[in-house]
Amino acid sequence: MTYEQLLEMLRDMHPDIDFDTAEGLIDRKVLTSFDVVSIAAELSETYGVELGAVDIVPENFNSARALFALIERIENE
Amino acid sequence: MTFLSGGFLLLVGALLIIYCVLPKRFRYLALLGGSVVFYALAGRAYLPFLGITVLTVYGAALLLGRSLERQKAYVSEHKKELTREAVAAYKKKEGKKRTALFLLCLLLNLGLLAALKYTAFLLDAFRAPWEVHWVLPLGISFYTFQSLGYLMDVKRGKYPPERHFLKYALFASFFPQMIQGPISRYDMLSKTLYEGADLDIDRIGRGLVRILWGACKKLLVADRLAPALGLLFGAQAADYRGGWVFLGMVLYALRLYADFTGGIDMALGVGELFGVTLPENFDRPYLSKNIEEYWTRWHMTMGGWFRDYVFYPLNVSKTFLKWTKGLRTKFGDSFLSRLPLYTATLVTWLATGVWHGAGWNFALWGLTNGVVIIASLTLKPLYDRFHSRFPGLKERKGYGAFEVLRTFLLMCLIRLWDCYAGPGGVWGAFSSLFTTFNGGAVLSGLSALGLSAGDWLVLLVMAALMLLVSLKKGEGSFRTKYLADPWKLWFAAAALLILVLLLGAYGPGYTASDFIYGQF
Repeated sequence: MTYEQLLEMLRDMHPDIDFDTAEGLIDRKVLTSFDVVSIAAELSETYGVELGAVDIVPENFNSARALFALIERIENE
Repeated sequence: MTFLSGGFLLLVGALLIIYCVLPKRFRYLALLGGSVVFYALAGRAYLPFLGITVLTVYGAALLLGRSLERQKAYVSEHKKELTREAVAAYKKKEGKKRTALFLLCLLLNLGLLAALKYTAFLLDAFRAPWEVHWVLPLGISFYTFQSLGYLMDVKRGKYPPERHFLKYALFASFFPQMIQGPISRYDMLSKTLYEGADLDIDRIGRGLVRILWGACKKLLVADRLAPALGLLFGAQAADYRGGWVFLGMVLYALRLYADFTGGIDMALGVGELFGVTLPENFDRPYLSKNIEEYWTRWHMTMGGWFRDYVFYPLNVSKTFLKWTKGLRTKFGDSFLSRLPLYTATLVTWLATGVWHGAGWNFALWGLTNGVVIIASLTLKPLYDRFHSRFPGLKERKGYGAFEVLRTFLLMCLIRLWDCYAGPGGVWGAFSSLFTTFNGGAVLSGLSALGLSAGDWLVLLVMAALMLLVSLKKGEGSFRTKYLADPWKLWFAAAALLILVLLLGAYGPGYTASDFIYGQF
């Protein structure tokens, strides 16, 4: 999965947010817990990236870059 | 023993002196000793139950941590000779052993909690020919969940287990959080719990202000309202319908807020006296604009627990992901393909309701929250369409106030499950809001509640003060922003103490009522 694909996926969910620059998505409550599980489901279904419960922490979802770093880590495992 | 009993105040005072006298590295022992004394004074019969949880979770976490370390060492030692598949198979085998151990400890502790909390209710519900009167240890729901959260974090490898038994025992039993939480996380609490803070008069002043502010909320508001609400929701509840239900809903919202946030203020303030930072449990919940937001601001440590240890794991489990995938293939992006998400929401909320207590009302309260959240999620496209037709509406202050009021009233309605006995009582009260409101009768009959003009004045001033503090504090702490100067801090402490002493509502024997959340 590429960073651009991730951005596109996130934009489909929230067209009003500029995910390339937005920070603190969880801390500022921009993304809700429902958004987080929707992202996890989408990643698993479309890209075969399976997040574990341990991966679902604010630091991994606070920005698109942090999420992409997590995805890369999982893909390289 | 509650925060406002003489025994508790004496214990905290004595402990503070011992804490300051002891060398830094032994100060955590004073806190542990104080916690044991507190718990023994609350009820000696409670101690064995707390002991079982402390011992089993400590032991299981150690074994889980060792297993993870062993696995890491083995994989790194045999990196070159093992294939990727062999490593995965080894990890799976070891993971299964850890899961078995984890489940054993989880079932033992949840079983203990369930047996003590729900047996009497279940026997009664199923009309069993016998009854039981078992003790319900103080704070069992709080310390069990805090301990199990720690165990899950260790199992996930989030942090290594605490090897020092006494330090772990302190984490599980730290006395300020035993009455009604908050439910702390080990990685956060351990940062300050074992540190042995220096004597800092300003920090003690800040702690005192928070304790006294909590006491004001509890004694000036919550306890003042308790008799009136007992009348509205008690045995004569059927006589108070329509407008009385509405008034009761609003007053109960005020009482619950004052009681629970007041208790948490006192817990956090006591922690602060010893330099221990307990997690915040509220973030101005009555200013939320929707129910989902409300639940990220009210009882945050409990909500966070269920989110991280029930809701997320359920949703990202293989079974749920497979189920979602199957439904999406069949039904596309429709309501039906969200069934797994909705199921996880309902399971989480049912568990949250049952956590609060033994009774159908608690389960139904939880499910109502889940259903309303699902409804708001399902209707979101409609809201979005509405707002796309009226751009800029969301940013208007008036619309924001409407959203806050709407959410406040919605939560008041859901709380009817707290107030009335059984679904019949709740339905009767709810329907009367639309059939026999009669607001005039309520206004002319207000004196029946037993509150004097002075009581109403105190309630109004305190409600306004709580709102003002919420609005002024914003994201930070009111004390840091407005009471940074020591003289302001100590003046505030003195003023709050005078308020508590002069205007507090004291019951028979001049003791405060129990905290509502203390029963959970």
